[in-house]
Amino acid sequence: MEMQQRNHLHKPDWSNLPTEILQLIAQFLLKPMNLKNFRLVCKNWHFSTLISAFLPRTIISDVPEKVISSSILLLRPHNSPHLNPLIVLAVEPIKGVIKLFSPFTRTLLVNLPENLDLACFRSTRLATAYHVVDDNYEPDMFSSCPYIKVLITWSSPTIPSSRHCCMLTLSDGGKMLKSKPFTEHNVNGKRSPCENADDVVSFLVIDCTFCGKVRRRKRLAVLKSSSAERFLMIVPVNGEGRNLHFKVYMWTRDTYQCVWSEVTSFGKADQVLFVCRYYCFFAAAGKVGNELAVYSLVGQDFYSMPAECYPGFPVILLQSPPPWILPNASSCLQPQFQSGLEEVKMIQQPDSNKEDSQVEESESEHKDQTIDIISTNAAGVQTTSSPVVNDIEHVAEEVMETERLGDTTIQAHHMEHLVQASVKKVVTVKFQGLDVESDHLSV
Amino acid sequence: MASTSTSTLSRKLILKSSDGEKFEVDENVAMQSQTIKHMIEDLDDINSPIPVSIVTGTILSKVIEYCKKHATEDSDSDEQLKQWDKEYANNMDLNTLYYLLLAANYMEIKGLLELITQCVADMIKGKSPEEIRAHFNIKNDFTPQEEANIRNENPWAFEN
Repeated sequence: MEMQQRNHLHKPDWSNLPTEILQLIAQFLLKPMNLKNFRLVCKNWHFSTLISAFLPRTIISDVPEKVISSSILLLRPHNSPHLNPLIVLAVEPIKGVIKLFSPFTRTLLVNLPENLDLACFRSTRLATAYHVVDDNYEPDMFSSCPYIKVLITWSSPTIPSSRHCCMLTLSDGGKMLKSKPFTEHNVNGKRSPCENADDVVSFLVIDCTFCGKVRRRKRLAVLKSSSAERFLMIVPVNGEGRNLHFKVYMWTRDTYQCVWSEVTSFGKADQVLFVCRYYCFFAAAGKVGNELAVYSLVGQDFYSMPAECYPGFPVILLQSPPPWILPNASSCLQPQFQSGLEEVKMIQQPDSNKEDSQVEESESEHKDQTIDIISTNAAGVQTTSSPVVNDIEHVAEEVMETERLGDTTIQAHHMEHLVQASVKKVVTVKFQGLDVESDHLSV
Repeated sequence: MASTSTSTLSRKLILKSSDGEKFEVDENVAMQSQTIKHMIEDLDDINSPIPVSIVTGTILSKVIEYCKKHATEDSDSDEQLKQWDKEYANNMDLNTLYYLLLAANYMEIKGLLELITQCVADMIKGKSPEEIRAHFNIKNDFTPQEEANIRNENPWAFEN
């Protein structure tokens, strides 16, 4: 009764609302400006929007840990969408500082200009992962960091809510566990689904806490359709020559037992599975037929899949940054929303400058391995691009006829699709928008 | 006759608020709360009052009002129900909203929780941090430096 009395008299304290309620409120705010103001109200409100608020509460570790996010982004110049996109792995080790890595090798992209402003480009996010790393983590060591544990958002919501979180764990022997990250099971340590996990995936927030042991990794992927989610296990197997093959198994739910059965089709004709070291995601890729279509972006650590094996894949040419990302070129590529053909001609002119700067960059490359890229509000990148959709497409079409794009370029009609997908979906939540040639690896 | 026969089909439950007030409700009304649903599953004797320990009688009566409205599916169209929801939320003062929010969260009534959080979000929209603090009587516990840091935080992680 005493407690009841206390509750009755207890005054509302809006600042101390439970985290899950604050997250829900924040989800309804929609506009970034509202969200920003929300975060500035008080510490507790601010905390509720941080990724760390979604972590299981029982992280036990000798070293202080923090969470960093990394995303695979497709960058394109603002008003020349026909140019080759750059695919990068962007990591934000410190708030506001973005470092770009090659998604293949996870080595730092060093031959990029300093102070590269991401707002100068249109970016499409293909996949995001959250890494729990220890505090001594050196971002440059990304490629060899053994401490990385992974949390992946499957369909990056503005703010993932623990209400929608689900943790899938693939552990030794192919056992899959599904649990809520905050359930009592985890808190009490009754079972720890993360132990000995090969990979963990979920549709919204995924937790993976494997300890970086070098072994052939199985991955989980979720194939979503409007009606169902299917869980797939991707197992790498050696193929002929340098080829790496994947076998794909589908999880069939049977109350608490799960059965993995090998499949030879994803069931959806336009889906290509992208396999990265930490990521596994599906993207629409035009018609690829009924066979399994898998592209590996896996680095060269323990098994490699040379990019040449995928002649149709747009990433092939992006081992080195395209010229448009360099300062002289990108200054011309600043958003010019009244842009017409004149703008595009300007871009094509400073060829000599571009080469100069490239040389400079490669000279300085070894001196300075850490180039911090000061990021600005990337949210503005996508929102501002929508009013000029038509202009961009017109320009792109015009230029396509006159400019020789070289043999490394993606074919025009593929690019068109790519551009459209990302422009129309200004807020890209799904992993759409990447269009690739149908050159698949059959398994 | 028809109404008595349906009410006999639905069992009655007694909910007891934190301040001891008792409410008799149809089972299908109470079952909108996941928490109560789970409690009933564990109970042998459903005739004993079910304690809703952190919710006062005043608030519980409002929760029940919402659940009753949403338990009768056929009477209203979606549009009418939305309108009703809107008026229901608009008639609450800020303190009531606060306790309803906690109650809906504790009792796990998804619809009510979303209705109230949406309503609170609407109050926040378009307001500066200072205005939000004034509205909800929240103390600014940031140092000026911390506040400046958050202002400069890169919203990249939240951008879609």
